[in-house]
Amino acid sequence: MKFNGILSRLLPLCALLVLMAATEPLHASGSFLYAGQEALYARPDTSAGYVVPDSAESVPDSKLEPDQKPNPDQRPEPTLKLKEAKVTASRDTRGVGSAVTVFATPALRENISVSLSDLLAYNSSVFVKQSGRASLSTVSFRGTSSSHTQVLWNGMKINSPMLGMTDFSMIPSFLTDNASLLHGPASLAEASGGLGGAVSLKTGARPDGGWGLEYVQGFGSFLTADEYLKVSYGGRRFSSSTRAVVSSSRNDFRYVNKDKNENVYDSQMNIIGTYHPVERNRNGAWLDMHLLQDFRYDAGRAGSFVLSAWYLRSRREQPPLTVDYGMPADFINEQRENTFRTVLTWTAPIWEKSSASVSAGYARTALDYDYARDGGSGEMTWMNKSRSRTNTVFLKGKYAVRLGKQWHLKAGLTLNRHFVDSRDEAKLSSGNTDMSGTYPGYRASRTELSLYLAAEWHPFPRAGISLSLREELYGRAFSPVIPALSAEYLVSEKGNLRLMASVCRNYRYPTLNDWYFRPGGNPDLKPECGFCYDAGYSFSLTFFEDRVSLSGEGSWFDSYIDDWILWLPAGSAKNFYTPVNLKKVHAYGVEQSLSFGWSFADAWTLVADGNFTWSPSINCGEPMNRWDESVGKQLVYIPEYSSSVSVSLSWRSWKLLYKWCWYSDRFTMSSNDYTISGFIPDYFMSDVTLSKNFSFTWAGITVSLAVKNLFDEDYVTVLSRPMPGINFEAFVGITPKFGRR
Amino acid sequence: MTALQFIFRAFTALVAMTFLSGCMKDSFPGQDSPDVLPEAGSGLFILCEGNYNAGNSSLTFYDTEEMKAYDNVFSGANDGQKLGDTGQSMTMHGGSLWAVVNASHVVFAIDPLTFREKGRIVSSDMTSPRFIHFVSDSKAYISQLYDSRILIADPGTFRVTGSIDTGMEQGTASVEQMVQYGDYVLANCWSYQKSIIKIDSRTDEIVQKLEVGVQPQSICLDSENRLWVLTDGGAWPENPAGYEAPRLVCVDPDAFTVEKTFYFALGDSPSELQAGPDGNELYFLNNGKVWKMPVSADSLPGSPFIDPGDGTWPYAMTVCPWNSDVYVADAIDYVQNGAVTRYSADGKAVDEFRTGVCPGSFCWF
Repeated sequence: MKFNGILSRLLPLCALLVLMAATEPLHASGSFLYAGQEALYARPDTSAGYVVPDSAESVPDSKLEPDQKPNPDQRPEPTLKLKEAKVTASRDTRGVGSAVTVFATPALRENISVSLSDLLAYNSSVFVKQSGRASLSTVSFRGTSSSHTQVLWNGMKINSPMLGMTDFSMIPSFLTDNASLLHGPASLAEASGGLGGAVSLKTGARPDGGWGLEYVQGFGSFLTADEYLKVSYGGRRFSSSTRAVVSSSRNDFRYVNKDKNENVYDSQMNIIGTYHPVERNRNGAWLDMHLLQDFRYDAGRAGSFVLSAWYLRSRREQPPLTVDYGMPADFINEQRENTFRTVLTWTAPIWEKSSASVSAGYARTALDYDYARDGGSGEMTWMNKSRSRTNTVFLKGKYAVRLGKQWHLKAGLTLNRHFVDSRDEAKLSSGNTDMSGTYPGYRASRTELSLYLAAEWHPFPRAGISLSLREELYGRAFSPVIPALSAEYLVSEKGNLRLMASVCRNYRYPTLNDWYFRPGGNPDLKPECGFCYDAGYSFSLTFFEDRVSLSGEGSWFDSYIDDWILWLPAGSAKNFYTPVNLKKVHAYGVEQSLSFGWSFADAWTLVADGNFTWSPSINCGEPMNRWDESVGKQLVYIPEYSSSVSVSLSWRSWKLLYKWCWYSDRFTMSSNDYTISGFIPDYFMSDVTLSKNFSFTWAGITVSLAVKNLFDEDYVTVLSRPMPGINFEAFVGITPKFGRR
Repeated sequence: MTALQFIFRAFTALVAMTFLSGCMKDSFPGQDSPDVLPEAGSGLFILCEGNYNAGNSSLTFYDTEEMKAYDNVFSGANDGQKLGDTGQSMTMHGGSLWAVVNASHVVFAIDPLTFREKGRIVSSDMTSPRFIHFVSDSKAYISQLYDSRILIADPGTFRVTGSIDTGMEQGTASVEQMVQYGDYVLANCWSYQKSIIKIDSRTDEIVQKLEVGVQPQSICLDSENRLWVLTDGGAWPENPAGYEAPRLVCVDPDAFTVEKTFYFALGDSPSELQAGPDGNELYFLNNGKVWKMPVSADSLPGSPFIDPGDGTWPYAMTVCPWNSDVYVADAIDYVQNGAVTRYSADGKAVDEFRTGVCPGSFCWF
């Protein structure tokens, strides 16, 4: 196995080398065409802002004067007349010396059908844990857990106040205009608690001028249907963008269930043979609907107002495990979510060198989980009827001022107030007076207040140092001061080579479930405390008259997290769990990303991006007793190594995109034992997409075919959760031009 | 090089990648057949629950003479077939080890000599199986959590043939352990319940019900055929079923009345009640220790029989029916292989061995 396994791991690299060998030498002539080579990994201080052309129109031949008409024997260079473009930019003070990965809109639209979790799995160094298609997907940085990733939507934290995590499978990339990964200490600029990092999602980008419409229809294996619609209007001051996503699937793929044997009996009920059955993924259907509305009003000196509102309605069935032998007459096992989030933001320059912004938001989530089986009596036996309602109000103010060329100061104040009502209605009894009207569950609320102060100093143009302090109030407890210090130095302007380093202390407070859940909530829990530092570099180069580009980032990180919270059974009672501050974790390692672009042979463009992460995440606490073999071992479900590569090859209006990712073995046991259920074998996934754009005078049409799990890999990402083999989805997209050409 | 040449070379590379990637590994460590030949009278099976919704339950075999443990014997003997999700309990009957796997909705019949599966009881009626009790060679009761019915199964055909309606509400219904008393089966109703029930195994009907305290967790019969019931008191203050000091209750199984009651302290978490080989002593776990008391005692014991100490927190326990050795299981952090310490009848540690994840149930062979 090992030889083939090594070969398979090296395939993306081999493929890249072969493709490079197959192409012409670099001195091939041709104009520089770099469409599609968007900066996937731009540093924030170079990518902030955007270009907004009012319109751009080509000049048709018929409008040329006679003496300007081209000689038929001499093909003219196409002429493109550009109107004045307005460029706005603001220096993003998020990160002197911080490791930040930015996904701009083109990268997010690369494959319109993917959720943000799919996008991050193939294009970043974070670890995405997926339980299946359209199932819970969580993101974790640098060997930490998913609850150590803070997720912000237009500045508002959207981690579940009950669970602390965010389900990225519920976030279509189509609904995001900009996504930033803030690695390690960089996350403190947005929020505390991101012991691994933070993900910042933004919408409300100004659409193109005039009316715009985009519709994409996808059909795929397992009766999967995806619809995407965007209607936009861009005026001089007012703009609007309406986006809708509807995704559904029966998701009943077939697989060989190697966790089960099917028995063959003789007439005496003796087993005379066994085989692994071919089963369907039962009860795996989903129907997700999203509606996102952005309004933007630019009021000149009075600043700009952006109102974003996102409604999400989801119904997802939960498929049984591969080891489930149940065959109920009927059963329900599904999760339903209704979420509404809205944020209004006002941003304006104050005098000449300062700016301010104020945001207010509200979020409500109704999350229902039902689990019931009909044991043949015609009556459902309810085992779980969980009802959770969370409401969050959010206020945030930021002010930044530049003092001369050397100093930049900023301050921010954020308020979140969460209200939670959680109960299990399956456990209500009307017949027993003691139990009547009461459910296991809890109602609780919590105020979270965070004050942020930062100073950035540039002693000379190539160097910068930043110091920030946070002070937080959680409930009635103040956190210790949360400091962060970072620095960077531009070594070479030619290659834009930068060195950077940062260090911080960070805290993550227990979730409301950790404190209040009944049964098991533990109000005496302490916050998890992390001490993190990292150092890294970045560079970007171009060669051969800018036809070849190479950029990269790398960082080494090291963090110690104390009082890691784990839920364990409450003693020998066995019937419920309780959270405890148990572990000390040392997470360290290396992140590396490289991007390569090459424009050659007139109309060819090759873009390759690669990521590699080595992230040991070691339990370094005291053993629980003499039996405990978890000390010094990798945490469960966190891969030590992961890597991803995407290669796109474009020729005129054709594009071939190949994506590959690999996760090393992940242990399901804290002792890291290689037993039959003790680990998830490593797997590598390959997807390929071929797309073609057709440009008509009235519309642009895009046709694409995506092949997922290209090599029909037999794999699981979570124990006992089946995953589909090779599957397909075809898309047709139409973009009417409404008078634009 | 022309564009066509380039496309050809790229295509060749893609084909090569496809071919090579098809040769991926497809083997799992830990699937080997167990290297042991069990003998009756010296075997102990340990059913390891694993973690709910993970499907990593497993079966460990311990040879009490050789003092050697073998893990994952079921998967090893059955071509990698997994035992399932949340193994709950085991019973030896008719030359088979019957393992109830709660969240997999199955009861496996396993040959204790080879660990190979002999058959399985699956049924659309099986909602959440907990324990299996054999009334005869042709009739077994399968208790369930959440479901108001006790299933009746024919072990010979592996089929569910009927059910007993307990009258409890769906969702909060619970029947756990069952013991035979003459023609009657006595059972405790644990989760969100307060009672024990008496079933006439001739008619498959519940004939009596007795309230004994909040959440009767386990039961056993003593040498005088009295039924002992251990309640957990609700375990958490906001339990809708109530929260009280746990109790050890002695019940006259004929009159079906409470003879005497011993009270633990509020907040104690007693569990795993069982009688010794001669039925003259009771053993149970409480607050991380093993306790032992004669059935004639007038009060609960004042000091533990075994204090494992050293951070060990007992999760399950069994008493050897042949020599009264006590086996105490520790689940450690619940996500690594558990451990069992074997104590002699006088409470001295004599051996220790590792099991699968969350060792929660024992069965003697």
